[in-house]
Amino acid sequence: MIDEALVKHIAHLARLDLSSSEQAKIQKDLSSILDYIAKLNEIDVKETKPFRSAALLHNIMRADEAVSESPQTNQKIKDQFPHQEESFLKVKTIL
Amino acid sequence: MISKQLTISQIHQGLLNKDFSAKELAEHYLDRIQEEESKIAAFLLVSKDLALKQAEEADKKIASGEDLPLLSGVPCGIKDAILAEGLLCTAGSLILENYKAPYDATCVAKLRSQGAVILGKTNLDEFAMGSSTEHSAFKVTKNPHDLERVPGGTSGGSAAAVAADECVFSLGSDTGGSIRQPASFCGAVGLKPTYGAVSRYGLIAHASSLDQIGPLAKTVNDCEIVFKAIKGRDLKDSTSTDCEATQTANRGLNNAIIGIPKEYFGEGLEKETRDIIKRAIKKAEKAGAKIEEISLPHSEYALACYYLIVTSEASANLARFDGIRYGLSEQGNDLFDVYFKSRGNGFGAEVKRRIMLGTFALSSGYYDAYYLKAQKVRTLVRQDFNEAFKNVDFVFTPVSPFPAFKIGEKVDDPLKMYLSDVLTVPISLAGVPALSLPVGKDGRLPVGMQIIGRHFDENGIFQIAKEIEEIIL
Repeated sequence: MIDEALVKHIAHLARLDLSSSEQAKIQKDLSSILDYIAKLNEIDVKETKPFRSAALLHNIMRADEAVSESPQTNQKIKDQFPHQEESFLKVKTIL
Repeated sequence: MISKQLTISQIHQGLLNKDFSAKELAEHYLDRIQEEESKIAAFLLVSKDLALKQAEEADKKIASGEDLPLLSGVPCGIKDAILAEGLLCTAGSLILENYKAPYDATCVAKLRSQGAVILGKTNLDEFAMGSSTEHSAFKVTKNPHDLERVPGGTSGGSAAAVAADECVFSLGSDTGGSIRQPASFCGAVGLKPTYGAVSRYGLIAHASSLDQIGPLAKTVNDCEIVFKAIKGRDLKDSTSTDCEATQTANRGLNNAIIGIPKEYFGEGLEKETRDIIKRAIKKAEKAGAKIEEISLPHSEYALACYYLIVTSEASANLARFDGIRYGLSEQGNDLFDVYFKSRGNGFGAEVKRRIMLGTFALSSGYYDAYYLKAQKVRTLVRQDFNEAFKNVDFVFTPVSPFPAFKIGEKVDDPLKMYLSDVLTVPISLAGVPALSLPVGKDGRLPVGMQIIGRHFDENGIFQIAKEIEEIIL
């Protein structure tokens, strides 16, 4: 069921450049993994609610206050920008 | 003279008695790393300058006669998915090869405030995806007990560094077994805490509903000391909590009821591993524990369920690596081109495979049949554990169906690699705590027993594990 077109579609959704040999390998791997996962069809979950971790605990609230990091930390984060102009993050044109 | 395999308490006493200084200790471990690394390859980065500076600070504290926290001067390794300010943090990936951590993870800040000495960053499977540390983009870590075998994964560097005595303890992270399985393969003690017990702030996210940071060490007591130092609620991680166990098994082996789930001793479990675990269970019984066979009926579906959830969450978490704010940024004609090329060139094969599977499971038309179904099965897996813990205090199982496998044996077959997590992932899906305790050897290779407790009952696990540690030796 995982054909070449589906692999291409998923790679596009995931924003992944894949070579044709990578595509072929992933098509094969995903097929065998999904064959294994088909095991889940043996169980009836019609009456089962999906897991939600929030349902197990209680809400943890805090005041909705802005917390600013130190200028040093801000600078260290900016130092990681691949492209920068003045203190701005530089990206390609979006539209 | 600094002896081998020192524990945290021995170091604490040694520092207080002035048998050695923190600086001598740090130098000793830096020498150990120098000696062992050409064989073991556990570290991606050795932070010599930082370690020596921290050791000097610990020595000043000792000289001043101030109260000395237990971890002061104790040399440790940190898994390279956990941020330590000023040090590179690669997550084992080319996409973060030059990424320098701008701040500390909460657990690292807590270790620093106790005065622990950071020796370096340990190797892992890329973005903590794997079971052998072979998926690291940088090096293959070897198992100190047999250099032709894997140390397990994904915290393979952390486990191997402890086993080779290149550090006293280390931090790892566990999504589906990534602390417990390498601890088992390397003969270390490793704890995956209850989900929520330790802040995940500063851990590079893999699957956020499953990830937990935890300690690997040489003894249960050391594991406990480190866990107590890093646990607790953190405002920067809203899933962290100070919860205590509602029902505690805070009683010795003598009074404990231990459940043995039949599903964990079936097909696929190697005979030698089974025999070693059965012997350990017998010893616990002799020491007074009541042993009961139980059933966790949805165990056989846990692995399939896990690989849908883990890849779905990972595909969303890894969307942030897009070549824009940090990490590898390839040149492109337009924004899309930058995304595709940076991610295409920066991620390794296993990471791409998982992003693809996760994106598929979440995509329109497939969501209900895959992701939603897996979330429902997860409810059933969790209910199994809740039911079991109504009648038993602990559950004992093997950590892995087999001991450390050969380097290269499974790396080309993803499903085969995934199947090695079959005994650890159900525990992760349920969110309960579990500790891997070395209980024997198959030839040269260590075998760990998994001690699973109720939510937030780490104390009960430590107590019982210490008793078993005594009677196994």
